[in-house]
Amino acid sequence: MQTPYQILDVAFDARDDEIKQAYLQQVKNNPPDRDQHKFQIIHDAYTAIKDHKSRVSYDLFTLPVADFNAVLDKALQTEQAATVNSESLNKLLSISIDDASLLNAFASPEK
Amino acid sequence: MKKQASIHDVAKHDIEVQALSLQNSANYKEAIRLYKKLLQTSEKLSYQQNLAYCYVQRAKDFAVKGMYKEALALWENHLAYTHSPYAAQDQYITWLIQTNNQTKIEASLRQLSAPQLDTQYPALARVLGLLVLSEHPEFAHSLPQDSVFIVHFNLVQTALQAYQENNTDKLNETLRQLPYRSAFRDFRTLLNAIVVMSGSAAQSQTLLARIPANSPYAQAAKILLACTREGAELAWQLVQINHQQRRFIADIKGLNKKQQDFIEHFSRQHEKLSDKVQFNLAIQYRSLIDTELAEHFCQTLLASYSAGKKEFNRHFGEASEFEENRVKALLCERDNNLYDARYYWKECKDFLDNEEADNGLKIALILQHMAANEPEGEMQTSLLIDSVEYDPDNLNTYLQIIHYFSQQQEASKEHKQWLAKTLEQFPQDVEVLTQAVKAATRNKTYKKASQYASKILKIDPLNTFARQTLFSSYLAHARRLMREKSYHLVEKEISKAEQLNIGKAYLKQVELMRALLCFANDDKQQGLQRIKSVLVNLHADPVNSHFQANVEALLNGLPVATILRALPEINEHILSAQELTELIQQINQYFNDQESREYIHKALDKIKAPLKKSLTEHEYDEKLLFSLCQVLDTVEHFELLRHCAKPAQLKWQTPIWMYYRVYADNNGNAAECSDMEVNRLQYANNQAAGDKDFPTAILIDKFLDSYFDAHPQKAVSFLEGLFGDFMDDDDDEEFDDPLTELFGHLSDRVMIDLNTKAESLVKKITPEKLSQELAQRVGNDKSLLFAMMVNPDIFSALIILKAADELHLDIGANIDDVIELFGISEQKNSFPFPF
Repeated sequence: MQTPYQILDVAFDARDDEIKQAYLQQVKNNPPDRDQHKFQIIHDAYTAIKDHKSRVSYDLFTLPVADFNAVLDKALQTEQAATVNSESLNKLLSISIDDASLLNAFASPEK
Repeated sequence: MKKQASIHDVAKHDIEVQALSLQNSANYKEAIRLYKKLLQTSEKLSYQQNLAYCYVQRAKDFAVKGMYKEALALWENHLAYTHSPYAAQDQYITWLIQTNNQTKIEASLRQLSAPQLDTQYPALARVLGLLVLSEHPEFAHSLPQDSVFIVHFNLVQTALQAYQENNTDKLNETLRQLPYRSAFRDFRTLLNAIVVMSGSAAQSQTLLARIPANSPYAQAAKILLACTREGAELAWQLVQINHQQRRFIADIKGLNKKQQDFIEHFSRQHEKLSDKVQFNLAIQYRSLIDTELAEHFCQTLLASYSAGKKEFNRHFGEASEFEENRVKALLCERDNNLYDARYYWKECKDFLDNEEADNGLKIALILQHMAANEPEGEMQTSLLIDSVEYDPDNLNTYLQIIHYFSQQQEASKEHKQWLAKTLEQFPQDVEVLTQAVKAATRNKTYKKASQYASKILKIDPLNTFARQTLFSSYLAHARRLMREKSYHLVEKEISKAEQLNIGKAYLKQVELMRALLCFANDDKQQGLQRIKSVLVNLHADPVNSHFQANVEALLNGLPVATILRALPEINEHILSAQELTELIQQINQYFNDQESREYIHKALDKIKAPLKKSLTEHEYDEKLLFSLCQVLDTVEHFELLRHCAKPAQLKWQTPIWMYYRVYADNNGNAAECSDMEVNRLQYANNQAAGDKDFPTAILIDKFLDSYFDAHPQKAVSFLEGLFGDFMDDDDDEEFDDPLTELFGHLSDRVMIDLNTKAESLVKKITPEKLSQELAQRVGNDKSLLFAMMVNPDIFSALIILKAADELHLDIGANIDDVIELFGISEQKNSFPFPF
């Protein structure tokens, strides 16, 4: 379930004009005649956070979800791009070999 | 002897059949035993073939279970009963590799021919491909050197060299030479995925998805795929692989020690991810996941994992009381438990009230939210009024308050006050001004109504309501001037009304006013002609014309008889359904104009003969007659109402007609009803409730309320049951009965409602449940429960309180009164254990 901030792709501390701009952009990309349902979701998201009062109301009356995936996202944040050099490749092949995978090669014969 | 031989043959045949059956049902162990037995008597080829087959199948079964030594022994057994090429020889070599039997592995690999490796055993070739590239490069020396496999192996080594040297062109060129049928096909895909991984995770994922699940490289592909993921997706992939593989990914992704610890911890517990596990993980790794996020996450979990509160307080300080109550309130609302939600929102509001920060908006929103959860009524309005203090700019709140007070006959003062406040706050709002016009019209302050309407037209020149109001106002003024015989000023007002230009029907009204002015001031005959002509234009029938002429003559202070004489005779006219509809509209229209209300009755008297005749002789449909009854009820013309309701009740016999009949027979005065009529109404009320005809049930209820207000002694019989006869006690006596003391001040009608509700609650709620529900307010449900067990009156009192709460009635008594009156808190410690 996406939050209105995620739907409109704006920051939690976005200003009214930024939110409006993001809403208009989303409407432009998803006009109601193309996908009424999606447009409605965008419109509802905008209504929920369009001004300070709406945002306070949204914060007050939205049941918070203890999203463990958010915890995992934060816990496993990495900045290093994954690269596998030839040494790592050898290691990868070695650690990937187990009885099951060798046997599995015979499981369904090639067509 | 012959007979003995025959018996022997039969037995052998039976064993053979049995062996085949066991073989077909995959019971190879028993099949092997029987084939061995058969081979003791005969060297039959089919026995040998079947035995060999069973050995191989049983060997495969053992291999699947990881029992490779047993598999090898069984496969080797089958060699005695068959000849080359042997079944599952490729798998046999794999089993040898898995048992690490170097001598036999080398021998078996050396026995492989190039065609076997390149075409007959593709699965084995793929496995050997992976092994020569990783743990067993020495196998390559034992394999047929003239095979395509070796050619491709050399190409792969060249490609790896190119990758090591970062020579992309050479790498691509070499990999391109590996055909689709190559044993190294999946390795090529894997290497391509690795090459693009740092640049495009998505492209790498697409390539890795091409490696089939039965490929020996499938696990390597899975590990690499995990390397392309981030955050939660990565975490969920990591828990599916082993520790060594996780370490590899951790190195590739650059996960630090803390992250690696976290993932190991998570891997051990991911299958039982209870609130407690999540809570503890977030606490333990709060520095890793950002303390603020950890705090927010744990605070949210506290609503469902309250045991963590102590731990939470230890790590993050005292949990936010506000947040805890807010989440509880929302959870209650989610479960449709508005009763408890109200309690938690109240706690939230009190908390914010006590904070130094400016929480006005939050408090106002909470109060408005609580009001939205209440049914329309006093409680809702009270919450809205409270919210105005914190959010004085919310127009919608003001409008709701005004709307509520406008519906309450006894609250005209409050309505006036709130309307004034709202006008002061929103002087230019059309909706507020419209409310002001309506209120002024209701209060007969027409000048004010006109002023507000003019103001609306300045803001919204096309506002129909304001134009209609002004039109009525000008005409009302013109009539007053006509009555005062200030004829020279009348035309001015008529012209003002005309200039509003709001439709043909209104213009005809203007024409009628001019005709009346002509009759009054200029020429009586000409005036009468003009009146007649306008009315013919306005109505197709004489009855409607008579009615309007009558009301207008009275409104303008003109001689009714003279004007009516000039109009066609009406006594024999039977109104069509359309004409009757028009008459109903006219009555409603004049009724809306306060000034003309008093004349409607008189005008109806003048047309009652044709109206009665029409009701007797014409078959109108029920809906139309119902509309007529409503309007006759509104103008309180009971004679005509009787004439309408009696035949209708006889014809349709529904609760609404019984109501109108009794209502009309008693001229709308409930006190006049006979016992029989009350019984009939009670029966009709039940019937209406059963039919879910709530509007009728409400009408009858209201009428019966008036009856019981006038005859309180009649209501007593309803109170038997829960309270016995305590209501019979003399009011002046001291209250011996605590229930009387608590509820004796309530009206009979309220008691009836409470009794009915309490009876329905008793069926749904046990003393245990009631005590649990109340415990959160008084703290100790056990003492309440014990008290209820000792004294049933306490349960009765509490259930009445619950009934009042559900009916949103303020009965001036609460749970504290019950506790005090019955001395529950005093008795708490002295209660003997009841069992």
